[in-house]
Amino acid sequence: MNDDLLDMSLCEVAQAIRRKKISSLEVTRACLERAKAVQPAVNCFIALEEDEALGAARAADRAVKRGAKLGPLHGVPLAHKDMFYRAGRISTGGSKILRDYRPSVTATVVERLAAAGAIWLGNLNMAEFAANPTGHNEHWGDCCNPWHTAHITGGSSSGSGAAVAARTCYGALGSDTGGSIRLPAAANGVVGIKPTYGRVSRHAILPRVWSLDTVGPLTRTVRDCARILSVIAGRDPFDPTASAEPVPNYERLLDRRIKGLKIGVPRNHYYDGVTPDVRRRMEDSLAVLRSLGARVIELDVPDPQHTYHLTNAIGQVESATIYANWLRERPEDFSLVVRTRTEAGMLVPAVSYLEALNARPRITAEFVQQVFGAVDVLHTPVMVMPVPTRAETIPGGSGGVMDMLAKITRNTRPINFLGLPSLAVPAGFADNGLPVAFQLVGRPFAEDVLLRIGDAFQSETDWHTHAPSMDSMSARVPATERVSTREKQTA
Amino acid sequence: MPKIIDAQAIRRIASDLRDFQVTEARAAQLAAEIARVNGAARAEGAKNDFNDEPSRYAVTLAALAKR
Repeated sequence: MNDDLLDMSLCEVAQAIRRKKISSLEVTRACLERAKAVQPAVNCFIALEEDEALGAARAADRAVKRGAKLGPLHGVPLAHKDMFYRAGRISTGGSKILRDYRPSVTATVVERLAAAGAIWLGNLNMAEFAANPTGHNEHWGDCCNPWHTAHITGGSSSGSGAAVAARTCYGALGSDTGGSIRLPAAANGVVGIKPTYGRVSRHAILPRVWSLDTVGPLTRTVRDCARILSVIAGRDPFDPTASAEPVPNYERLLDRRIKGLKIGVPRNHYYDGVTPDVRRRMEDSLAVLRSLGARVIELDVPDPQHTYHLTNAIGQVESATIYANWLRERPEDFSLVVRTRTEAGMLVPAVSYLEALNARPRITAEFVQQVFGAVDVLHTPVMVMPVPTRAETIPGGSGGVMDMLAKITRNTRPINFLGLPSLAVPAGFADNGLPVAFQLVGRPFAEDVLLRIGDAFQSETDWHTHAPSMDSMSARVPATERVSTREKQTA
Repeated sequence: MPKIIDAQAIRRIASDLRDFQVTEARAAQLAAEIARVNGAARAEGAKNDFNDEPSRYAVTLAALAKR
């Protein structure tokens, strides 16, 4: 019974609760049981809030019984990357430094999810300060891929990808500064959307790079993703970078009509170094989209290589500013990798930083005009190679590791510089048995187009229904010392 | 392209301006990284207009949205 409940999508379970076919309490209990069963091997949670979640589920069921007005996420258990603040509750940011940090404010996105009826199941593992693309974490233990625990989850929203894939919850928030939603979505076989910069409020979330940070959901289906995005998107008086662009009901726009849409496949950069198995999955996915009436067009796109250094200018300076006091006062409490990646920002001239920021509108406009003047969306692999192992990607490793890390993010980072929306969609499996995904990239605020294409794709494929086995989620393969889960926090 | 600043200068700037210490070897790595970042920013900065400002980015994204 539990497996049946856990295999339902977010939208299905929300409807079943609303129609009194199942209770929120049953669903929440099932999620908690699964979370506890997989935690020793997958390590996707930093904290589980069992009592609070069960209490919230009971309250949700009482609301259903008395015929109260119900939100679109009523009674549905979600869990979130441990960087979305709740006043008075610990939010570690995956770090040692913030192990006991209790912010005084609550994130706008958290308030919006609560208002929509969602249950908070727990806080998810993540890369320290959202600063690496693999899911390694020396403070809280590595988060491990539920499809094969020797492999990385992708990061930095490592727990979000793993927890959703492992069926411990029906959706999770992540953040994406250089690929941190799309990479774990791809590596774990779930859907993830990095919205347009400014589409979703960043108020009261742990900052990484103010100019690049975005917030979005990871879910099992595109429809689930659309539902959560509709809830969390929109202007916010507490975040001046949150856009006032109107927010459509993304879910209602999922009509699966993509006939005539032009899907661009880049000839340059995005397929460099692609492995044959990943290429086959990309070709298969394009064949599905063609069969639905989309036109697939190959094209040259502006080379993103020069934006890597501009992204570094922005990212290094802003993160160095955020961590400046800790870098000076307690540098030993950072992992070596985060510290060394950040300290360069102390030395970049201010004029160079501002030149990079000022170049961004022009470079983005050139990209949009050249690419989206010719096609409606771009289609690329999220990663050009199969999901690597944790041992192959240990932070601070040899030069080979650095090359691997650069390869992991080569298709995602340029999109953050451009501020464009991007949706990661499962597209099958590589020869090593780990998931493969494509990303769709659109013009600013075209999340509805990406979601429509992704939903149409999922109407013709079943990759999103595949789940890792309990056997694979029980095999413990430690790469670094695991730290025990934080004791239950108190308000 | 600007020259790579030498490791000694990096160590002095880090210490005097930002109050943090780096080893000679790390200073050499940082010098190369700063040169790359600084060079890219200068090259793009040469194409910027004097009326550009960072806050234009949000306006640009909104303007590029399809109505």
